[in-house]
Amino acid sequence: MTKFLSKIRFTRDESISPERRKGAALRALASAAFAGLGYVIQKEFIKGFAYMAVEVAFIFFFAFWGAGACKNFATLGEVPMRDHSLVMMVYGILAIIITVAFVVFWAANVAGTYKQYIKATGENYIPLTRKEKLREWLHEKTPLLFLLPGLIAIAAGILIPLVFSISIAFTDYDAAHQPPKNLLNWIGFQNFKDLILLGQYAKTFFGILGWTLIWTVCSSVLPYGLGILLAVLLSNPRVRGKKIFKIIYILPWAIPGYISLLVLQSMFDTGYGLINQILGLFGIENIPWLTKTTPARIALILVSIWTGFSFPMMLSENIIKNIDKEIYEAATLDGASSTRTFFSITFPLLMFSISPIFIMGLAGAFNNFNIIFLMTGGYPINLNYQSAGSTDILITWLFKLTINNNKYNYGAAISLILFILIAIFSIFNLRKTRAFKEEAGE
Amino acid sequence: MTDSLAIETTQTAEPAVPVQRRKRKRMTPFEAVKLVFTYIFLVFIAMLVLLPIVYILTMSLNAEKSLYIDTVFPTKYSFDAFARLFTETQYLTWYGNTLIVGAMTAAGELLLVLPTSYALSRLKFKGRKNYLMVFLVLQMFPGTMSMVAYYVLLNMLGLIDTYFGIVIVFSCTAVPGSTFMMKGFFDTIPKSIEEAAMLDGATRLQCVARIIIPLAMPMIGLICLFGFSAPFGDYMLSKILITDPGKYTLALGTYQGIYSQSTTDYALFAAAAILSALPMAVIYMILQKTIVNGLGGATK
Repeated sequence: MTKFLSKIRFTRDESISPERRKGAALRALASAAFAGLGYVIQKEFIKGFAYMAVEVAFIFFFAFWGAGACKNFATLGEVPMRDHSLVMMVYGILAIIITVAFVVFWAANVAGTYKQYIKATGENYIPLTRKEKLREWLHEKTPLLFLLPGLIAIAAGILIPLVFSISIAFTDYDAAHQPPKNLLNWIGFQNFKDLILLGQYAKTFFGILGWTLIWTVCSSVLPYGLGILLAVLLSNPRVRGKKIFKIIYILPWAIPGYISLLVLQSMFDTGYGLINQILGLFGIENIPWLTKTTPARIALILVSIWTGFSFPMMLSENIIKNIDKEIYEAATLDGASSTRTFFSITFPLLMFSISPIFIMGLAGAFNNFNIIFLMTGGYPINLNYQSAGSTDILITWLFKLTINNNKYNYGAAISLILFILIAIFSIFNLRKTRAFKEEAGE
Repeated sequence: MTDSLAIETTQTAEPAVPVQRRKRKRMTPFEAVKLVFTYIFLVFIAMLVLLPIVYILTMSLNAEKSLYIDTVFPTKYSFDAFARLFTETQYLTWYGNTLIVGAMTAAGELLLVLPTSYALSRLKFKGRKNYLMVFLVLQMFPGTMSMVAYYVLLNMLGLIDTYFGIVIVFSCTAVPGSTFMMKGFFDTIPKSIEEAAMLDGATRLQCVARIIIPLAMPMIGLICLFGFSAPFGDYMLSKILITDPGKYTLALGTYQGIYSQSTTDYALFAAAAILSALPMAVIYMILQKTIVNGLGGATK
């Protein structure tokens, strides 16, 4: 037993004697048995009793409310109308989060007791007065205090809703099961199986996934391409009237998105839209923008270019302006042509600076609800699809399943799939960005 | 103005290389052709950009309500549509709602973001890198994904159809992204200023109030602007969380109340679109440099 105790270690310091380790481990065990007990043994009364109070509070919380909430979360209620499955789910999530927070607190308390003893038995240890202790404690906890508002907001505004959505993905919450009239049931991975394997839905899912990927690439590469091209053209010192061009090019970015989308939608109308009227002057009659699959997809991508090229243009312009002029002078002195300087200097530097922003933009394009929803609404109807049209992307299909078809469970399952796709993609990419490398180097 | 200056300076800087000078002064035929094509392209794109804007401006002044006209542009003009906007619809109420929600979102977001980003930029603690990672990943998720959850949760709290409910959703979902931008800006403020002040006996809070916040004003303004414009740009979350037409935001009202009738009264929609877009467009045009620097700096 003593041998085991002296093997528990929370510090890497090898100079600590086995006796001190043993003493520290004993007190840590006491704290493990009841939070704060180890501190009380060390005569750290204030901290000890405060921690004990937290544990007592948690025990009361769990006995009178938490345990029931967790059980309800597992069963989702037994009597329809009396038990509201969704409410039970929310309370269950809350209880689980509080419990996890307590476990973290408890673990920190065990490690803290251990370290406190090692510190107090060190050679140069001078006992602190109460005031000094308080000051030290405050100093230690300042970062947490500052982080708290943001963390609470993220927990309440993002994390809980997200966990809630994820939970719904594993239930049978749909038009036929609407609380409080009906109870919900946990059905495991059934929704995912349906989406990926079940005939009609699987066809829709993979069809939409394919178009979503095409859409993501086109609606981010093309606006960036045009934006960069315009910035490069405008960087030519011979071009006059740059200011006017720039002001015009920034307009699509400055106008709120939904306004320009609604205006563009009416312009693309087959019968009376401005675009077909203008094309009619050139002898091209009635292109069914927005009502036939291919023209609708082309229209969507054109619109994504219109609404999206301004920002990359402004960025590239900024980057080009900040490139050191001496590099160009040196290159011209060495006899490089303007084409050569562009491809050897401007373009690589531009790509280097703009790529992290572009990658973040990809996630935005992947979830660009507004363009699809306000332009085509996902239409035209695709008879091979289940409650979706030919131009729907995953996020608009999710919206339709949820709002129009009350298929909350499928919507949530698609949410979770989106979540996983974006998380993998963004973590993979963010590791490469400079901001992160700098952080890692610290 | 600045362009001609730039040419002059390069010319004076390189008098020792006469070949260079001639090349800059007189265009080769190839360069002249290139310049012509550049202009054609620039003007073409400018026209495409201006087309919808000019279109909607003229349509708002169209004396006839309908879009079904024989000519490309209307023949009779009047301000009738703007007058009808204020008398026949709840446009002003929606405008007021949007301004209130926007201001509340900006304030709430700032209160949440400032301390958090300060800690991430200046304070040393365990797991800082992990926090950054979580923030970066979370900012990529659109609110759409959890829309059912928002509806159920706000419904439980009795916050459907309230300003407060939608403000909570807007400001909380914006926290990760804004925190990251703000942290990036704090990082550019040299630590030596604070260290000097602390040596002179200033506390940390004094440093924040007297040094950091005044220096971070551009980014603070930017975060406020983004928070403020959230209700101007969002349609979907507002649609789920607000059902009462009296509580609609501009986006919701313009779409539900006005655009849905645009086939019979397009001028009304055009007028609403212009008035909704104008303030935001003006602010964004004025602040474009600050915004681009701020957004570019966040990911550097």
